[in-house]
Amino acid sequence: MDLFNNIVLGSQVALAPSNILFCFVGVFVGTVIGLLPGIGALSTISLLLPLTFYMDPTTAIIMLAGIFYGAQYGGSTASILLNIPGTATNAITCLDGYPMAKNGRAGVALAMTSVASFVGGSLAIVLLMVLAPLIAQFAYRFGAAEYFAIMVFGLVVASSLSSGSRLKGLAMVVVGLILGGVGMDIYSGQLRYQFGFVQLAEGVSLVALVMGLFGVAEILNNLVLGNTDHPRVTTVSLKALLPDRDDLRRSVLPMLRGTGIGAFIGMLPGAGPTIASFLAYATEKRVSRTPEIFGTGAIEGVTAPESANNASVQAAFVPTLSLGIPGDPIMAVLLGALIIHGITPGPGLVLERPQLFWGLVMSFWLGNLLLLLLNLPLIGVFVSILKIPYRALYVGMLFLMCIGVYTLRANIFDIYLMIGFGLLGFAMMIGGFPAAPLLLGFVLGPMIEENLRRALLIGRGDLTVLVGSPISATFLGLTALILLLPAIGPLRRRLSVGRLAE
Amino acid sequence: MTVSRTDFIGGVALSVGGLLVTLQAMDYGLGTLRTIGPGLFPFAAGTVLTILGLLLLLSSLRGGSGVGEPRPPIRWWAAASVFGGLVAWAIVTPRFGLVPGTTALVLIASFAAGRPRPAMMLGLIVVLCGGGVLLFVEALGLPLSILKL
Repeated sequence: MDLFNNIVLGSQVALAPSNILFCFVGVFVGTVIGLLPGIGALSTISLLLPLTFYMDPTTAIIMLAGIFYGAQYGGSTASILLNIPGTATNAITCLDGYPMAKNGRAGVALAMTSVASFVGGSLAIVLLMVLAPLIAQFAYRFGAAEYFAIMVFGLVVASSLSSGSRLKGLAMVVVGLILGGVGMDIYSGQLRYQFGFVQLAEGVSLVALVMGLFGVAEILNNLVLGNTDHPRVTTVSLKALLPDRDDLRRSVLPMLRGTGIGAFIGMLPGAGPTIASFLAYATEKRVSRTPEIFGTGAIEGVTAPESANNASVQAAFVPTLSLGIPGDPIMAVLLGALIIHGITPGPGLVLERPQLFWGLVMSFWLGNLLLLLLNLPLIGVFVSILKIPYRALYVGMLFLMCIGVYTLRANIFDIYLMIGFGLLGFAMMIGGFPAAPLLLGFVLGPMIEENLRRALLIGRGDLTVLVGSPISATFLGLTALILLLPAIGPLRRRLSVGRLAE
Repeated sequence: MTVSRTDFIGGVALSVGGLLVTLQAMDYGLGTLRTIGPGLFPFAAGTVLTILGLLLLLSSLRGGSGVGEPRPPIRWWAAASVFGGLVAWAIVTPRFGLVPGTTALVLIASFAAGRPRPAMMLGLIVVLCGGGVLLFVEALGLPLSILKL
C-alpha cells in the first residue's frame, strides 16, 4: 500500500512543529490579503519569497502554498461584504454574495463559502494524491521533445485564455521568452542581452520581475486607474451565521459540480481559478430550474464558484509538481522558488523526494482544515481589517517591495530593475497587454530552449524529431489547432458570403 | 486613419523590439540545427515577436481589439509619485542608510492617493523604519546600514 506509506510519511513532515507554524502563518496571511482588495496572492508570495530563502525548502513551500489557497478563502469575504472582489478570482462571488448580504444573509453566505471552499479544496487534494504519482511515473517516459511540445502547448493555451486579445497574450509570452534568455547561456558561455551590466550575467531576477510587473502594477492599477475609496461595509448580523437545511441541501450538487470543473481547469496549464469560477457559475445557471434567482442572492451562485476556485488552486499543483510545468502564474513563482532552493520540480520530485511532495500534500489538508476553523469565528476580526485605508497600505507595500528585492543580492541594481519592470507593467496596463503570460514565458523560456536543444541534439539536427513521438506530435498538433482555430471562423464566413454573392 | 492609437503604438513597440532582438541574436551565432547556437532561440523569438507586432499594427488600423477602449482617466501624477518614491529609496538608501531612504519613499509616494495627512506619513515612517530594522536588519541580518551620515 504505497499510498498509505506516503500518507504516513507526509503526515510526519506536515505535523512537524515548524511546518505547522508556517502553514498557519501562510493560510492566515493568505486569508488576510485575500480579504484586502488590491493586494493579491501573487504580490504577497513575491514579497515573502526573499524571506523564505532562510527557511527549509519544504517549510517555505508549505507557507507560500498556504498563502495561495488561503487567499481563495479570504477573497470571498470582501466580495460578499463589500461587493469588491478580494482577489480577481472571487469576482463572481460578488454577483450573488453581495445581494445575500443585503438581504441580511451575509452570515450564511460567509459560512457557506467557507464550507464550499473546504469541500472544493479537499476533493482536489484527493485528486492530487492519486494523480500526481501516476503522472510522475508516466512522465518518466517523457523526453526532451515531449517536454518541449507540452511547454509550448501550455504557453499558447495560457496566452489565449488570458485577458485581452489573444494576439497580445501571445506577444507577451514571446517577450517573456526573450527576457528569460537574458544572461549567460550555459552551453556556450555567451552573454546574451545584458548590455554590459555585469549584474545581469545570471539573468533577470525573478523576484524583481514579479514585484515590478505585478506588485508595482497592482498598486498603480488601484491608484492611477481606479479609485481608492472603499464603500461602507454592510452591517453584518453575524449571529445568523448558521445556514438552514434548505441552504445545505441546495448547495450539495453545486459544490460537487464546481469542484469537478475547478479541478479539471486547474490542471490545465495556463487556466486558473478565475476561469474555473466563471465556468462554475455559468454551469449552475444553465443547470438550474430557476435561473432567474441568480443575481438576487442564490446560494448556488456562491457555493459553486467557491468550490471551483479552491479546487482549481489545489489542482494546479498537479502539473507543477509532477511535470514541472506551472499551471498558473503563481505556480510559476512557486516553481521559481523551488528552483532557487535547488529543487527541480518534475517527475523526480514526486518519486525521489517524497518527503517534500507528500509533506506538502498533507500540509494542504492541514491548511484547509485550519482555514475552515479560522474563517468562521474570526469573521468579525477580518471585517475590521477591511477598514484599513488603502492610502496607508500601499506605501507599506512599496517599502516591502524595495527591501524584499534588496534582500536577494544586496545590490541596488535589482531595485532599478524592479522599477524598470514597474514601468513596463504600467505601459502594459495602459496598452491592455496581460502580464501573466509574460511571467509564464519567462519561467518556461529557458526550459523550452534547453529541451529544444536536447531534442535536436539527440535527433542529430532532424527537426522531425519534435513530432516523432505520439505525445509530442499530439501536443504540437493541439497547439497548432489553438493558434489557427480563431482564424477559421472569419475565413469560413468570408467564403460563404462569397458563395452567396455568386 | 488610426482607429486605435494604443494598439498602434503597442504594435510599433513590439515590432521594433522584436527586430532589435533578432538583429542582436544574429551576432550571437545561430549555430547549426544539430547544435543550436546561443542566438537561435532569441532569433526565432524575435522574429515571432516582430510578426506579432506587425499583426497588431495592422489590426489597430482596422479598429483595434476594442478591449477596454473607454478607459478611466489616467492619474499621471499618482504614477509619478509612486515611481518617484521608489527611485528615491533606490538613490538615498545606499548612500545614507535605510531610515533616510524609507523616509524619502514615504514622503514622495504618499502623494499618489491625494494629499496625505502629516500624521499618517509620520506614523508610516515610524512603523516601516522600525519594523524594517527589526525584521530585516536585526532578525535576518541584511547588510544594510540604518543611518550613515
